[in-house]
Amino acid sequence: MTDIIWGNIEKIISGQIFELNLTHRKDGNDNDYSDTEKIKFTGTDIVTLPVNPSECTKEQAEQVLPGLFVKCEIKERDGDGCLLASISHSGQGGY
Amino acid sequence: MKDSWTPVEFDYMELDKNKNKIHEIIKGEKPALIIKKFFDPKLCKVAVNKAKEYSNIEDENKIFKKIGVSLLSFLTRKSDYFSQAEEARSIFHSIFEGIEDPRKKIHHLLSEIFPGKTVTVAKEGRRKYACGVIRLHELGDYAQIHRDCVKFEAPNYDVSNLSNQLSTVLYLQQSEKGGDLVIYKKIWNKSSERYREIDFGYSRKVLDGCKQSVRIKPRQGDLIIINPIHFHEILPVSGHRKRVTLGLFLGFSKYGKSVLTWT
Repeated sequence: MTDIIWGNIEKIISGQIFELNLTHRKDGNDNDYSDTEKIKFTGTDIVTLPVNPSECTKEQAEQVLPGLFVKCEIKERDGDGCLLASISHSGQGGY
Repeated sequence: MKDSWTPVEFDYMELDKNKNKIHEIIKGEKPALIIKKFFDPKLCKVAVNKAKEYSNIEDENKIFKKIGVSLLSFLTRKSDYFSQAEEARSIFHSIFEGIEDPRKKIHHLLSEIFPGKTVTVAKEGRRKYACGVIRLHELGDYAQIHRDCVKFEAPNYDVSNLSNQLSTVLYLQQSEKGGDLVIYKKIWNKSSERYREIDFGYSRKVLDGCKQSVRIKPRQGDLIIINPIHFHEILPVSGHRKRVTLGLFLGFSKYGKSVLTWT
């Protein structure tokens, strides 16, 4: 089963990498996660970003992502300690 | 000092002398405008009975029962939103067939409150936004603390460019007990996002430091207008009669020439 974590995007490191402040973790995750994790996103449903994450510039990410509450479906942790994950909108803050 | 953060209440018949009070809602100086006796209770009953025929429809997240289309359920599926908005039009036509359409009455009210502005359903290109959501809250149902802010949540929709989003809610049927609307004197900002819940709304912690709130329970046929950037919630319904409301959002176009509605 895929591990899932949720949280707010804090700091943009590059077009594809950001820091996430974790607020929720799926019950039954296989791995433990710190309160702050570096995420490299490999896919997203956020329509204001390019479909191919590798095409996302730091400027685009800085315009769209900071503060957003997102769901991260974790694929693996890379050699640099980054979590490779697919990110998506999570729930609704209102109607 | 006397607390002045209380709803503005008046009968629909007294609209003329009270319509400027909408600006107190826009500025957040008052929590709500309650327009009493806005829609005939007999017509509310007709609409509710018709709506029951469609009341087994649930929203995609199975959070609340509703009839109609809500934009935020289609954040990443814009074309689905517009096609379902089209389907919802025929359902609403059927629900309000033979009676005065309360959505039209709300549009008419808005044109009286905002004279000189065009009031119409928002469009994106040739596609019309959905107009109206009927929400049905049954025994035990509630709506967690939330705020409505299309500008932040749906930047890929044109309505996110509108300013001063307001929310109108017509009470088609009030619950026997519970179901009160609570509005908090606390406005959402981006830092509130750290208190988001996974499925819907915010944890109660988002209200830390908030010392004022109002609890509203209008009667059948009353219309309320709120500035939905204030956190608000619906308390659990505790009687057997459902709480049934018709909601619409509105916002102002650039330079304020038009008032545009959507759901």
